[in-house]
Amino acid sequence: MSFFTSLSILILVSLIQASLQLVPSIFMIFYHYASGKKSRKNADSLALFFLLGVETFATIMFLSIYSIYYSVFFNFPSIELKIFPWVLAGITLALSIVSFFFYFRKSNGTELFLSRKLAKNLLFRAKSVKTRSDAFALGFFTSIGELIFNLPLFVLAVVSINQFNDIPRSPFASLFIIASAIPVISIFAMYHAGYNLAEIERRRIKDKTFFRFVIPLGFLLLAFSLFSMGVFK
Amino acid sequence: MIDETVLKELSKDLKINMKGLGIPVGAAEAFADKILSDVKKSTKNKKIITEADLNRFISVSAKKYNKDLAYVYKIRGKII
Repeated sequence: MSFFTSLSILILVSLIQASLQLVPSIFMIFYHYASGKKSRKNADSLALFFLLGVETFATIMFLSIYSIYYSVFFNFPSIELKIFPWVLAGITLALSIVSFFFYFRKSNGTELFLSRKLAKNLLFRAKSVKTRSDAFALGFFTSIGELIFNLPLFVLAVVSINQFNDIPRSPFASLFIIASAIPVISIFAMYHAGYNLAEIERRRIKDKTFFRFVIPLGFLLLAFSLFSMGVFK
Repeated sequence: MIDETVLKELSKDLKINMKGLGIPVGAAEAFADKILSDVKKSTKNKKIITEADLNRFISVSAKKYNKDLAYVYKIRGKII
Protein backbone atom coordinates (compact mmCIF):
# COMPACT_ATOMS: atom_id res chain seq x y z
CA MET A 1 0.00 0.00 0.00
CA SER A 2 1.42 3.41 -0.96
CA PHE A 3 1.91 6.23 1.54
CA PHE A 4 -0.99 8.25 0.18
CA THR A 5 -3.37 5.28 0.21
CA SER A 6 -2.49 4.54 3.84
CA LEU A 7 -2.82 8.22 4.70
CA SER A 8 -6.23 8.49 3.06
CA ILE A 9 -7.44 5.40 4.96
CA LEU A 10 -6.11 6.92 8.18
CA ILE A 11 -7.92 10.21 7.47
CA LEU A 12 -11.17 8.36 6.70
CA VAL A 13 -10.85 6.30 9.88
CA SER A 14 -10.24 9.49 11.90
CA LEU A 15 -13.28 11.17 10.32
CA ILE A 16 -15.54 8.23 11.18
CA GLN A 17 -14.10 8.20 14.69
CA ALA A 18 -14.87 11.92 15.03
CA SER A 19 -18.45 11.39 13.77
CA LEU A 20 -19.42 8.93 16.51
CA GLN A 21 -21.94 10.49 18.86
CA LEU A 22 -21.87 8.82 22.26
CA VAL A 23 -18.90 10.65 23.80
CA PRO A 24 -20.00 14.16 22.68
CA SER A 25 -23.57 13.47 23.90
CA ILE A 26 -22.38 12.44 27.34
CA PHE A 27 -19.96 15.37 27.45
CA MET A 28 -22.76 17.75 26.55
CA ILE A 29 -24.96 16.53 29.44
CA PHE A 30 -22.03 16.32 31.85
CA TYR A 31 -20.85 19.88 31.12
CA HIS A 32 -24.39 21.29 31.39
CA TYR A 33 -24.84 19.80 34.88
CA ALA A 34 -21.26 20.59 35.93
CA SER A 35 -21.72 24.27 35.06
CA GLY A 36 -25.13 24.20 36.78
CA LYS A 37 -23.64 22.91 40.03
CA LYS A 38 -20.23 24.57 40.06
CA SER A 39 -18.50 27.71 38.85
CA ARG A 40 -17.43 27.91 35.20
CA LYS A 41 -13.79 27.51 36.25
CA ASN A 42 -14.49 24.27 38.13
CA ALA A 43 -16.66 22.95 35.31
CA ASP A 44 -13.83 23.64 32.85
CA SER A 45 -11.40 21.80 35.07
CA LEU A 46 -13.77 18.79 35.18
CA ALA A 47 -14.17 19.01 31.39
CA LEU A 48 -10.39 18.82 31.02
CA PHE A 49 -10.33 15.60 33.04
CA PHE A 50 -13.20 14.17 30.99
CA LEU A 51 -11.13 14.91 27.88
CA LEU A 52 -8.09 13.28 29.48
CA GLY A 53 -10.20 10.18 30.14
CA VAL A 54 -11.26 10.01 26.49
CA GLU A 55 -7.68 10.49 25.30
CA THR A 56 -6.29 7.96 27.77
CA PHE A 57 -8.74 5.38 26.49
CA ALA A 58 -7.78 6.15 22.87
CA THR A 59 -4.06 5.94 23.70
CA ILE A 60 -4.38 2.66 25.62
CA MET A 61 -6.48 1.12 22.83
CA PHE A 62 -4.08 2.27 20.13
CA LEU A 63 -0.95 1.09 21.95
CA SER A 64 -2.53 -2.25 22.93
CA ILE A 65 -3.59 -3.01 19.36
CA TYR A 66 -0.21 -1.81 18.07
CA SER A 67 1.66 -4.12 20.44
CA ILE A 68 -0.63 -7.08 19.64
CA TYR A 69 -0.12 -6.43 15.92
CA TYR A 70 3.66 -6.31 16.33
CA SER A 71 3.87 -9.32 18.58
CA VAL A 72 1.80 -11.40 16.16
CA PHE A 73 3.74 -10.36 13.05
CA PHE A 74 7.24 -10.42 14.53
CA ASN A 75 7.07 -13.36 16.89
CA PHE A 76 5.16 -15.62 14.50
CA PRO A 77 6.34 -14.62 11.02
CA SER A 78 5.22 -17.94 9.61
CA ILE A 79 1.63 -17.46 10.79
CA GLU A 80 -0.92 -17.30 7.98
CA LEU A 81 -2.66 -13.94 8.30
CA LYS A 82 -4.01 -13.58 4.80
CA ILE A 83 -7.56 -13.94 6.00
CA PHE A 84 -7.23 -11.19 8.65
CA PRO A 85 -7.50 -8.19 6.27
CA TRP A 86 -10.52 -9.72 4.57
CA VAL A 87 -12.19 -10.26 7.92
CA LEU A 88 -11.53 -6.62 8.74
CA ALA A 89 -13.02 -5.50 5.42
CA GLY A 90 -16.05 -7.71 6.11
CA ILE A 91 -16.47 -6.25 9.58
CA THR A 92 -16.40 -2.66 8.25
CA LEU A 93 -19.01 -3.63 5.64
CA ALA A 94 -21.17 -5.18 8.38
CA LEU A 95 -20.72 -2.07 10.55
CA SER A 96 -21.84 0.07 7.65
CA ILE A 97 -25.14 -1.81 7.50
CA VAL A 98 -25.53 -1.99 11.28
CA SER A 99 -24.79 1.72 11.76
CA PHE A 100 -27.32 2.68 9.08
CA PHE A 101 -30.15 0.76 10.71
CA PHE A 102 -29.30 0.78 14.39
CA TYR A 103 -26.89 3.61 15.31
CA PHE A 104 -29.69 6.11 15.93
CA ARG A 105 -32.97 4.86 17.37
CA LYS A 106 -36.19 5.78 15.69
CA SER A 107 -37.32 8.69 17.87
CA ASN A 108 -37.53 12.45 17.70
CA GLY A 109 -34.40 12.83 19.86
CA THR A 110 -30.84 11.67 19.29
CA GLU A 111 -31.19 8.35 21.11
CA LEU A 112 -28.39 5.92 20.27
CA PHE A 113 -28.10 2.15 19.90
CA LEU A 114 -27.24 1.61 23.60
CA SER A 115 -29.54 -0.45 25.80
CA ARG A 116 -31.86 1.84 27.76
CA LYS A 117 -30.48 0.53 31.05
CA LEU A 118 -26.92 1.47 30.08
CA ALA A 119 -28.07 4.82 28.70
CA LYS A 120 -29.86 5.61 31.99
CA ASN A 121 -26.78 4.61 33.95
CA LEU A 122 -24.51 6.81 31.82
CA LEU A 123 -26.96 9.71 32.17
CA PHE A 124 -27.00 9.29 35.95
CA ARG A 125 -23.18 9.23 36.05
CA ALA A 126 -22.94 12.28 33.77
CA LYS A 127 -25.30 14.24 36.03
CA SER A 128 -23.61 13.30 39.27
CA VAL A 129 -19.94 14.02 38.48
CA LYS A 130 -18.39 15.78 41.45
CA THR A 131 -14.64 15.23 41.37
CA ARG A 132 -11.94 15.21 38.72
CA SER A 133 -11.52 11.45 39.04
CA ASP A 134 -15.28 11.01 38.38
CA ALA A 135 -14.93 13.13 35.24
CA PHE A 136 -11.86 11.16 34.11
CA ALA A 137 -13.63 7.83 34.69
CA LEU A 138 -16.74 9.07 32.87
CA GLY A 139 -14.67 10.05 29.82
CA PHE A 140 -12.82 6.73 29.89
CA PHE A 141 -15.82 4.46 30.35
CA THR A 142 -18.07 6.35 27.94
CA SER A 143 -15.55 5.58 25.19
CA ILE A 144 -15.88 1.88 26.04
CA GLY A 145 -19.62 2.11 25.33
CA GLU A 146 -18.89 2.63 21.64
CA LEU A 147 -16.26 -0.09 21.39
CA ILE A 148 -18.24 -2.08 18.85
CA PHE A 149 -17.74 0.78 16.36
CA ASN A 150 -14.37 1.96 17.70
CA LEU A 151 -12.42 -1.27 17.75
CA PRO A 152 -12.21 -1.91 13.97
CA LEU A 153 -11.30 1.76 13.51
CA PHE A 154 -8.38 1.43 15.93
CA VAL A 155 -7.22 -1.76 14.20
CA LEU A 156 -7.38 -0.08 10.78
CA ALA A 157 -5.52 2.97 12.09
CA VAL A 158 -2.75 0.73 13.44
CA VAL A 159 -2.53 -1.21 10.19
CA SER A 160 -2.45 1.89 7.99
CA ILE A 161 0.12 3.67 10.19
CA ASN A 162 2.21 0.50 10.04
CA GLN A 163 2.46 0.90 6.26
CA PHE A 164 4.50 4.12 6.64
CA ASN A 165 7.95 2.68 6.14
CA ASP A 166 10.33 5.60 5.60
CA ILE A 167 8.71 8.23 7.75
CA PRO A 168 8.21 8.48 11.51
CA ARG A 169 4.90 6.94 12.58
CA SER A 170 4.40 8.56 15.97
CA PRO A 171 3.12 11.96 14.66
CA PHE A 172 0.41 10.15 12.68
CA ALA A 173 -0.49 8.01 15.69
CA SER A 174 -0.71 11.15 17.85
CA LEU A 175 -2.91 12.88 15.27
CA PHE A 176 -5.26 9.90 15.16
CA ILE A 177 -5.52 9.84 18.96
CA ILE A 178 -6.13 13.60 19.09
CA ALA A 179 -8.82 13.27 16.37
CA SER A 180 -10.97 11.24 18.77
CA ALA A 181 -11.21 14.30 21.02
CA ILE A 182 -12.36 16.70 18.28
CA PRO A 183 -16.12 16.27 18.94
CA VAL A 184 -15.66 16.90 22.67
CA ILE A 185 -13.50 19.96 22.00
CA SER A 186 -16.06 21.33 19.53
CA ILE A 187 -18.93 20.93 22.06
CA PHE A 188 -16.74 22.61 24.69
CA ALA A 189 -16.02 25.47 22.26
CA MET A 190 -19.76 25.82 21.57
CA TYR A 191 -20.51 26.15 25.30
CA HIS A 192 -17.82 28.83 25.53
CA ALA A 193 -19.23 30.61 22.48
CA GLY A 194 -22.49 31.10 24.40
CA TYR A 195 -24.52 28.08 23.29
CA ASN A 196 -26.44 26.10 25.92
CA LEU A 197 -27.62 22.47 26.12
CA ALA A 198 -30.94 23.19 24.41
CA GLU A 199 -29.34 25.02 21.48
CA ILE A 200 -26.65 22.37 20.98
CA GLU A 201 -29.19 19.54 21.14
CA ARG A 202 -31.45 21.31 18.61
CA ARG A 203 -28.44 21.47 16.26
CA ARG A 204 -27.65 17.81 16.85
CA ILE A 205 -31.22 16.84 16.02
CA LYS A 206 -30.92 18.87 12.81
CA ASP A 207 -27.65 17.08 11.98
CA LYS A 208 -28.98 13.62 12.90
CA THR A 209 -29.96 12.73 9.32
CA PHE A 210 -26.54 13.85 8.11
CA PHE A 211 -24.76 11.60 10.62
CA ARG A 212 -27.21 8.76 9.93
CA PHE A 213 -25.81 8.69 6.38
CA VAL A 214 -22.23 9.83 6.94
CA ILE A 215 -21.25 7.13 9.47
CA PRO A 216 -22.48 4.17 7.35
CA LEU A 217 -21.08 5.81 4.20
CA GLY A 218 -17.68 6.15 5.88
CA PHE A 219 -17.68 2.48 6.85
CA LEU A 220 -18.86 1.53 3.37
CA LEU A 221 -16.08 3.56 1.71
CA LEU A 222 -13.59 1.94 4.05
CA ALA A 223 -14.86 -1.56 3.23
CA PHE A 224 -14.84 -0.96 -0.51
CA SER A 225 -11.41 0.62 -0.52
CA LEU A 226 -10.06 -2.36 1.45
CA PHE A 227 -11.74 -4.86 -0.90
CA SER A 228 -10.66 -3.02 -4.05
CA MET A 229 -7.04 -2.79 -2.97
CA GLY A 230 -6.93 -6.50 -2.35
CA VAL A 231 -6.57 -5.36 1.21
CA PHE A 232 -3.21 -3.93 2.39
CA LYS A 233 -0.46 -6.22 1.09
CA MET B 1 -50.07 14.63 44.98
CA ILE B 2 -46.28 14.97 45.12
CA ASP B 3 -44.23 14.40 48.23
CA GLU B 4 -42.35 17.35 49.78
CA THR B 5 -38.99 15.60 49.37
CA VAL B 6 -39.69 15.09 45.65
CA LEU B 7 -40.58 18.77 45.36
CA LYS B 8 -37.31 19.74 47.02
CA GLU B 9 -35.40 17.50 44.59
CA LEU B 10 -37.29 18.99 41.66
CA SER B 11 -36.56 22.51 42.82
CA LYS B 12 -32.86 21.71 43.17
CA ASP B 13 -32.79 20.07 39.73
CA LEU B 14 -34.61 23.01 38.15
CA LYS B 15 -32.13 25.48 39.62
CA ILE B 16 -29.14 23.43 38.43
CA ASN B 17 -30.62 23.23 34.93
CA MET B 18 -31.36 26.96 34.87
CA LYS B 19 -27.84 27.84 36.01
CA GLY B 20 -26.50 25.48 33.33
CA LEU B 21 -28.59 27.32 30.75
CA GLY B 22 -27.20 30.66 31.90
CA ILE B 23 -30.37 32.00 33.60
CA PRO B 24 -29.47 34.43 36.43
CA VAL B 25 -29.85 33.03 39.99
CA GLY B 26 -32.63 35.45 41.07
CA ALA B 27 -34.74 34.73 37.99
CA ALA B 28 -34.04 31.00 38.36
CA GLU B 29 -35.42 30.95 41.92
CA ALA B 30 -38.55 32.85 40.90
CA PHE B 31 -39.12 30.58 37.88
CA ALA B 32 -38.55 27.44 39.97
CA ASP B 33 -41.21 28.49 42.50
CA LYS B 34 -43.74 29.29 39.77
CA ILE B 35 -43.05 26.08 37.85
CA LEU B 36 -43.34 23.97 40.99
CA SER B 37 -46.66 25.53 41.95
CA ASP B 38 -47.93 24.76 38.41
CA VAL B 39 -46.69 21.17 38.75
CA LYS B 40 -48.42 20.86 42.14
CA LYS B 41 -51.70 21.97 40.56
CA SER B 42 -51.33 19.58 37.63
CA THR B 43 -50.62 16.58 39.84
CA LYS B 44 -53.21 17.38 42.52
CA ASN B 45 -55.73 14.71 41.52
CA LYS B 46 -53.30 12.13 40.18
CA LYS B 47 -52.68 8.94 42.12
CA ILE B 48 -49.75 7.69 40.10
CA ILE B 49 -47.16 10.10 38.72
CA THR B 50 -44.26 8.84 36.64
CA GLU B 51 -40.95 10.62 35.98
CA ALA B 52 -42.07 11.17 32.38
CA ASP B 53 -45.28 12.85 33.64
CA LEU B 54 -43.28 15.19 35.87
CA ASN B 55 -40.91 16.12 33.02
CA ARG B 56 -43.90 16.81 30.78
CA PHE B 57 -45.64 19.01 33.38
CA ILE B 58 -42.42 20.94 34.02
CA SER B 59 -41.81 21.37 30.30
CA VAL B 60 -45.34 22.71 29.72
CA SER B 61 -45.09 25.13 32.65
CA ALA B 62 -41.51 26.21 31.83
CA LYS B 63 -42.56 27.20 28.30
CA LYS B 64 -44.12 30.34 29.81
CA TYR B 65 -40.82 31.49 31.33
CA ASN B 66 -37.97 30.10 29.23
CA LYS B 67 -38.13 28.11 25.99
CA ASP B 68 -34.70 26.49 26.44
CA LEU B 69 -35.62 25.21 29.91
CA ALA B 70 -38.86 23.77 28.53
CA TYR B 71 -36.89 22.08 25.76
CA VAL B 72 -34.35 20.58 28.20
CA TYR B 73 -37.19 18.90 30.13
CA LYS B 74 -38.93 17.86 26.91
CA ILE B 75 -35.87 15.98 25.60
CA ARG B 76 -34.90 14.50 28.97
CA GLY B 77 -33.75 10.93 28.53
CA LYS B 78 -33.83 11.25 24.74
CA ILE B 79 -30.29 12.57 24.24
CA ILE B 80 -28.41 9.26 24.33
